[in-house]
Amino acid sequence: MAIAAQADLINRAIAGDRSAFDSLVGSLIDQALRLAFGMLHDREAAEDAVQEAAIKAWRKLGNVRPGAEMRPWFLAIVANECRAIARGRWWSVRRLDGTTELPAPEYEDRIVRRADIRAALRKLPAEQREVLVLRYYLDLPLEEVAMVIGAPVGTVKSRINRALAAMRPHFQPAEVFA
Amino acid sequence: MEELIREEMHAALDIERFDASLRLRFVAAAHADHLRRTSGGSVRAHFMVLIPPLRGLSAVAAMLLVVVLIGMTLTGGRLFRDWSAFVHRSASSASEIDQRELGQLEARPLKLPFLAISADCPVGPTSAIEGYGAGQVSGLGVGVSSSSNDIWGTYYHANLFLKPGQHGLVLIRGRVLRNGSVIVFVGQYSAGQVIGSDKVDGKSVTQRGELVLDPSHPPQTAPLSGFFDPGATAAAYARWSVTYGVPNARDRDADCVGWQVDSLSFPTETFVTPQTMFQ
Repeated sequence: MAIAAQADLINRAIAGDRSAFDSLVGSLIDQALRLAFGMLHDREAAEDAVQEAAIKAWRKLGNVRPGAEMRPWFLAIVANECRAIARGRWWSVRRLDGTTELPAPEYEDRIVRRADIRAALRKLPAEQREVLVLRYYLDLPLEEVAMVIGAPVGTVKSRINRALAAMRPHFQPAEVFA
Repeated sequence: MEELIREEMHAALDIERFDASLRLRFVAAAHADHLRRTSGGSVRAHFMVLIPPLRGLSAVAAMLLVVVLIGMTLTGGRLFRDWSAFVHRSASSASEIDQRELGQLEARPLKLPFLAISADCPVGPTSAIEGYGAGQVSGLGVGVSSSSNDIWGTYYHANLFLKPGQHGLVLIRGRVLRNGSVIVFVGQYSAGQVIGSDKVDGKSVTQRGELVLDPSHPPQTAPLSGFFDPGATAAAYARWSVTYGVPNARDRDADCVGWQVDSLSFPTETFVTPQTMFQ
């Protein structure tokens, strides 16, 4: 997005133009929900986090630097919300919704495997889970992951390495039988 | 290895489908928050601008004189026009409604569930009048648009009835329960974010994701012959003729539509209808 066009949208949104705000942030909502779900593993908590992030994003629009990328800026707000929610809750709930995950006998192994990966992700420290989700689930480049978490690229790399070391048993390729 | 990790992460986490309408909900919530914050602030700011010059009695008197003069000018010039507009006013369109009240309603989350493909459509409840919805609002299909089955989807005409005695705005949103698709509204009472554009009955229309009824300006009043059973009260139901569109979907995915009704005047209501709203 051109700097002038982005600045115009930001000014219009600050003045109360909802469609301008939607043009800036609306297209990022899906990625924000995936990030939140990846971090929180709870659909309702993810939706709450992104709604709160959208509210805060509107409030903070005046802080966006001219020409700054909107995606890492908004995802950083989402990630902060997720961290706050994760810190705030002392319980952990895993929803098993029959409408979204329909186990069938022939897929049982694969489903168990995916559940194992989710369980392993939940056991990771939040900052390691965060970089894995950003890098391998949202497919962001390392530089953008660094912008979202507000740390140097080197820190991102080391966190990813530690996270992958912990996850390695779950990422082994499945055996192929002749 | 990186590709494997990526695949495994997607496989593990792509278990939740998020409704595309959440975008509307979150933007609406942020907008409502913006309106709440700015309305109080701007009033205070204006007072701060006005207060400093009003020092001393002469300043107050001058201010009063200006107010009186402005009032006389406005009253003299606009009295007849305002009265005429009041007498001949028509049903309010979405552009005339209270945006702050609408923002509060839009910020309310949708309570409509997803429905599995194999599940039966839980149509109902129905009202004392012959329509869907047993609360303050009832809907009844009255026709299919001439542009039905076009590339985008199908449009239907329906009557929406509102029980007497309501004063606040009524926001209506619809979703296809099996896939979460947004039901669009076209025409005078459509509101909210623009979803797209299309041609209905030969006319170009804008698709929007919300319908807003303003009970203080009802366009028509029931009864219509054939719509009410003999036992139901026939007096003073307000009736809006509306057009909504259901996007095409494969097989029977779009055969079941959920509706949510929000107002500050009564608790949130939901009901489920077939695509047509026909009884």
